[in-house]
Amino acid sequence: MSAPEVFQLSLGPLTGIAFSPDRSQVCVCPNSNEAQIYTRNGDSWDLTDTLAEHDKLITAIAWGPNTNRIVTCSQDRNAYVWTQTEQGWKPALVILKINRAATSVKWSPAENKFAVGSGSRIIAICSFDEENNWWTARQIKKPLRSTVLSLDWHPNNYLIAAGTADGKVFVYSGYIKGLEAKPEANIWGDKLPTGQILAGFESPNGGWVHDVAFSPSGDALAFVAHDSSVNIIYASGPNEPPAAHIVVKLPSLPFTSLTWTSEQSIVAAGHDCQPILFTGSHEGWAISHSLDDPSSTSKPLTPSATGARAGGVGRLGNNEAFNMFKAADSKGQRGASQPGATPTSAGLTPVGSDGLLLTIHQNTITHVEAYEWNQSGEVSKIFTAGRDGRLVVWPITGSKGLSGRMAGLQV
Amino acid sequence: MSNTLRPYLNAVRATLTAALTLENFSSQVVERHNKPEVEVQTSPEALLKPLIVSRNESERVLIEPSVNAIRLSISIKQADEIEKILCHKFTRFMMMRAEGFVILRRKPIPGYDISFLITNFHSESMLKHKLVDFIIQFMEDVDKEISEMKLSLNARARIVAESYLSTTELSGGCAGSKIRSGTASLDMAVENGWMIQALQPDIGGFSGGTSHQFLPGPPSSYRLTCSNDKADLFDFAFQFA
Repeated sequence: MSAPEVFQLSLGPLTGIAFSPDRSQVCVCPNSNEAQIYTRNGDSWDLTDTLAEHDKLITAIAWGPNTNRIVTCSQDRNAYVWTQTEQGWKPALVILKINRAATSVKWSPAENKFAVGSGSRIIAICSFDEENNWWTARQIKKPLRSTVLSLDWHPNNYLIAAGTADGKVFVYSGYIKGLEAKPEANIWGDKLPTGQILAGFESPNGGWVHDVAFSPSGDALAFVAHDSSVNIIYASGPNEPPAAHIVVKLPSLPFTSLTWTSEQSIVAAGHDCQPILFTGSHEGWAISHSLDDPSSTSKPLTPSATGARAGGVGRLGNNEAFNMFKAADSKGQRGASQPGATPTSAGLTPVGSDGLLLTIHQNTITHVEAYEWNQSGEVSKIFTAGRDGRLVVWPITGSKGLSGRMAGLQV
Repeated sequence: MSNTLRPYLNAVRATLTAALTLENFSSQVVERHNKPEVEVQTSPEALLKPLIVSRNESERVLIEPSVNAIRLSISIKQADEIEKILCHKFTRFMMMRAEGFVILRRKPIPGYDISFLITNFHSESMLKHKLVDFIIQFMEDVDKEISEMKLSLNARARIVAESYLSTTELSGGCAGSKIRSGTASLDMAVENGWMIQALQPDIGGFSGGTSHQFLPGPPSSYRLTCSNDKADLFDFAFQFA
């Protein structure tokens, strides 16, 4: 088990990120209207291409692993599909027919269509129109009443889940007649015309749904909401209530992103700046451990990008107890949390003596996705990207015990 | 730090940290706009419940979170008229220079003395825990600042009153100081009908002549100037008749 790899790609937030199929390139948006493609060069990344077509902030990027096409969407209400040619990346127009910002985009597993969520309360399912050489959208409108914040495709290429800003999660049929074979009945529904609602859920306290994800089998759906909850729903059959709706409520700050690493585990990350592994099944879910628990390691996994960790002035500057009392006296700040497997409670992410957080990410993590799979099809590495401009590739430390976590420790 | 201030600041810190979970959120009402939802208040689902953390009747903090911005308003302790004036002047001074403070709002919310507006762009470019520290530090310092200003104002008022009263004491008696060479002057308030006479008119120019009769009228101030062109020491004294 190796230590996490840390790369500082930008000083500002990374608003969209997608890896190339072979992981040798990464497409990121450094909080601007341009997407940049970096190519891996040993331990660093070199800028090789810039995708400039949007005129406002790019909100999401998706890179099809089979067809090697990139789709970007932006707050300028447009999306472009980029295809690699000998002259570089060429954009293709997408007729989204939305009049507010596009917020999220995902390729379907077969990559013959993609879905775009938007602030105009519409999900656009886009497929390629050969005649006009552009991508056209079929829209899902009902019963969306707020911005669509997140999307995910079911592995069968027909169903799509969406999370909205009014705390709702819907499962739709994303079938497009004429493009693909008629879908068969599955555990979520049996009648599947385009836009058919198959299921609807709400976040426990009405928080904004930041991310949704189908499990690898597609039988379970997980979502994270702004009420600091992780929800896992197991479908039971068409037109039936779900077999289980498991809610894991946390004392931490809300999560903004999650990904399934196997049928029994999820990694979620967000405003606490550390990815956290959850494990469970139909019976229930619980936190396993944090992949970057600042209280479990005596020495923080500080990337070299931030420079050497220096103490304060004077002999007592490095003294932990002194600093704790000093902070309590001058700022009413409580000390570092007790070591434990659970994440630190809201707002108490420990701060080092140099004023930086003890976690690798220094600001909210906005993306968590699978990076590498092992032979059995389980995710062995994930990557996270955040508002601090860092890209981190984490090995999934499987065991909860100390030895498992010690393996990831830098000495 | 007093014992009641600490839990108050702790509560504000925890609330603020939880509220500062912002994201980039484009307006769903106006095309191609990206505005703080807490300011435009057009999408009810993008707002969260406002929260007041209160220490006592006069000291409280209102935190209004939304999806892409939070507004934090502070009501500063004002025990009396002087503190009210000082607080008004102090916050006005800061708010006129709001762009220098980045997160400061140009106007406070009604009922509060000063407001901050932290958007997702601020939390992206600055460390979040440092932003929280800044607000807490500000809350701590503003009380200190105002009580210090009040103390120095009182001290100044005392000095002014003392010198004023000591000057008016002159009326009826005589006052002076020794002058060597050069000019000495004495400012004094003079009441109606007093006459002023220089005791040693030979030492120099007593402005207004060696004696001066004040006619009935409103009280006025008068400057007595005396110059000395000799090397000896003279008493500089005037008599009031």
